[in-house]
Amino acid sequence: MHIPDGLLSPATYAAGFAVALPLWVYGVRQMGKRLEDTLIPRLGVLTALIFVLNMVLIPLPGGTSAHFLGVGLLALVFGIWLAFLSYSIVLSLQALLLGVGGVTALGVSALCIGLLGPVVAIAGERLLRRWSPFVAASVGVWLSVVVSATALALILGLQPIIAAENGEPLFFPFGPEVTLPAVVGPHLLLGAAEGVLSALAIRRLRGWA
Amino acid sequence: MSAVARRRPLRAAIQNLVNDPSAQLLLYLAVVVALTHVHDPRFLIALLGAAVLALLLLERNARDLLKRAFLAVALVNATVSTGYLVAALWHGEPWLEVVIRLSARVFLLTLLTLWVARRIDWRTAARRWPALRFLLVISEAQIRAFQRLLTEYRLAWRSRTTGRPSLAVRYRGSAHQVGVLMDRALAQGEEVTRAMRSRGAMDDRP
Repeated sequence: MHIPDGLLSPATYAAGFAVALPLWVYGVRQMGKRLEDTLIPRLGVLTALIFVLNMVLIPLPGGTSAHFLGVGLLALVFGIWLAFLSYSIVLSLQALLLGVGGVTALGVSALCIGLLGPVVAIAGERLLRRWSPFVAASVGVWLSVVVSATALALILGLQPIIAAENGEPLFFPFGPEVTLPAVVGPHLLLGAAEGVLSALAIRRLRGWA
Repeated sequence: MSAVARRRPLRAAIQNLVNDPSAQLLLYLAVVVALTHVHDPRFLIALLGAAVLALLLLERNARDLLKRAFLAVALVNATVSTGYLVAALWHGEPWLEVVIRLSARVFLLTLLTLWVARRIDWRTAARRWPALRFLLVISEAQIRAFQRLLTEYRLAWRSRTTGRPSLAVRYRGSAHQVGVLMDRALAQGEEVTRAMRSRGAMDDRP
């Protein structure tokens, strides 16, 4: 789900940054309020873990592969705002150190994966917690992956409608009829695997935040 | 004020600007925004050529940067370009300009980002937010440790595997990698916390 630079139109990435910037400022303030001697190192280590887990490729049939997002795990351990900030750092470091994902796409990706993902993960987990904490965490994380993928697919799919010249696309060229199945399809399966793994991990990380 | 600044104030001001990470960051962002407004494929190819030439002239590790940028965007560029080419040929529509525009712009922007990322000190750029800088420094150090662990794991896996492993074996391999990383993260989280606490790293917080 990494969008490189050059695929999003200026109108899209400018809107993404306009919404994300005040939320980043708010997130940094929230982190400042919770600054204690155990939170920052643990958040730093988990941010690094999520960065590296994004590099562990899960093979898919047909020669392609997918990777973990980890944002649901972050959200269920540290809450929405720290997860948003931490995942934004992951996205920034991936773009700057590896060239994976673009700087212009940071705002949109941070909102779709880093903010929407945690909101959905926590909402899903709270709804189902009464029945089984393990199932609640798994389903919450699965939902966060699928909803994030759907949001990004829709934004990508809007590009030929937003930015075209004489009928030719200026940025990403495919509409939602292509992006939705191509992006969301693999993440339906990936999200299930990530949900179970995250629920197992959360058992061990309880008490970290 | 230095002697150079007294004699040539304009030159000194430009030098300060060039060496200031915040100014470099702003200049880079301005170039990125400008490039997303360029749609002429010939102009984009010329800009890409100029960027590659400048890189080869100014950077010692230019080939490494070019290779990293190529590998970072190759899969996306190939998938999107091939998909568009097939769809355009199927519908009898023109495709060359779209494919060149897309590929040249994506590669050029990724190359610039990797080039600038090598020159800018992000810790200095984040100096106004101590908590954020703290988090960045810890994350960066831990990323290096995890990356080393992952590389060692993959090399060990490769050295013990003959032929191409099946999909099931590769799934198990991915799961083990995640398990190893998770175990290390738990241990590191506690270790870093204890190390920082013992050194009084958070004692000056308000």
